[in-house]
Amino acid sequence: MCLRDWQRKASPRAVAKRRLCYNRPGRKARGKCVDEAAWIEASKAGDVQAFNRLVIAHQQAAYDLALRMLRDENAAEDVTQDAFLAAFTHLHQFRGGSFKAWLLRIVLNQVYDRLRKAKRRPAESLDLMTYDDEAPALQIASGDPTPEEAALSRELMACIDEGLRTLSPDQQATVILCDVQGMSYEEAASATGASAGTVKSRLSRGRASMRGYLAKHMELMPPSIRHYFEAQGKAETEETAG
Amino acid sequence: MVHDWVRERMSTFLDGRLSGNEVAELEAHLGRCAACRDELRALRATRQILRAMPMARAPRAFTLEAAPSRAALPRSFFFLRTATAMAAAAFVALLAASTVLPVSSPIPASAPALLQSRQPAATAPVGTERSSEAPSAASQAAPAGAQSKSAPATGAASPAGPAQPPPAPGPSATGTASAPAVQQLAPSRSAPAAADSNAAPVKPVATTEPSPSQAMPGYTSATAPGVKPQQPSPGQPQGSLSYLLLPLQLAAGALTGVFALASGAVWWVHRRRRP
Repeated sequence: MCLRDWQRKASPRAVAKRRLCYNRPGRKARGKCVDEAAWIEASKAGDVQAFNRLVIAHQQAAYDLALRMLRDENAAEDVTQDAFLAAFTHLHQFRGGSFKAWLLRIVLNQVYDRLRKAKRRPAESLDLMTYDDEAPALQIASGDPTPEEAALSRELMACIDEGLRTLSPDQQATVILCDVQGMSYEEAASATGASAGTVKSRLSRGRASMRGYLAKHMELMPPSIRHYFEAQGKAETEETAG
Repeated sequence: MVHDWVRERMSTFLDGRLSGNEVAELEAHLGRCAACRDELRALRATRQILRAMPMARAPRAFTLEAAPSRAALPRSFFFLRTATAMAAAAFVALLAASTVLPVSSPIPASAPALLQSRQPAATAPVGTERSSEAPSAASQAAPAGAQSKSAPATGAASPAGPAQPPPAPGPSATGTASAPAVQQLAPSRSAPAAADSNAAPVKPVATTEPSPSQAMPGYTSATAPGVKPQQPSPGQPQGSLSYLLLPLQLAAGALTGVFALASGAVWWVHRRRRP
């Protein structure tokens, strides 16, 4: 049973307890359970070491969000560092709930500030995010990918990032939080400062736009899922011809 | 053709967040409509691809070496912030005081009397005669004339003499209106100099042509020796007080703005310098 299925079936109290008791910087890394609430309380008292545990637990999510939104590694690093500094300074304002969502909201606010500045000064355009050869390959099918598949998946990842770029910043943030980072509607709502209904709507539109974008780049898809887009593309072609 | 109501619910359906009735309705429709089924498959594949995206690895640890100290802000910022707060508090207090005091017009309460002082000297005895004819009306009209700004004074004088001509704009109207006030001022003629200090805003008029009506009744009666102090009407001293409040309010408001701007500038410079 995956975590999402468990969350659906478990009681809200058990879900809240599980949220307080985990240590997983990414979705795949799993470690021993720790009490995040205790770290937060210690950090509020000024314990930097306790706060650094929180940093290590969430720095990958924060950096990933900043990098995907800004598409510039240096800017993403600056934003992530500033967000952690701001989080430590304003930790007394944290009123409970998901610490990750609260932290990612700080990251998002700083990202929006940067994007606004970049819009005012278009000469300083943001660099495209590129994937190097050491980046992990996109693994959709089970089993180790061949070198060709790995190269193809890197192209697909770049294509997905391009597709994310076509979305509005709000839709982009919602898709990254919900799909790439696997957050629930409620957590994403807390991170973006919107209601759960707004998150649902943004996610629906963002996924639909991404579906349309990926359908135009079917050649990059692994064969296992390409036919879904082919069938849908045929239906659309018939519809336009008719 | 993909149905709109299905398209709106597909994403939520894939996340398992639709209610039981909606799920049943959607599944029933998907069993009949091939286009919506294809759309759902493509959307599911998109979601699968997005969820398979690896998260970017952080290039370094973002841990803090030491707690960031607030002392980095210059001391002048805290001084300016306190000064801004104090100036703003003073401004609000002065603003509240001016609203509590009823008279705040730039024309002082003794304006009708002052206008009367510009009349030829012959009008003064007329006023005294009329006041002797209607003493009760004079006692009523004096506070009314002091409280009113300009026009109500003529209205207050109208019950004093029914045979009087109707009030008209011009010197004659003000002359009749200020007649009761002159009667009130009769005891204060012995101390016109003391009144000058209270009637500061209209000083040029008062000094060029000294007359009994240049003084403010409330203050002159209190300073003149041997004269029974007159009870000040509610609006009389407050008129001059609110007159004094205006420059103070302006000064406090200007100081608030200056301090706020200066503290903002210090904060901005500090933020720019921060590594």
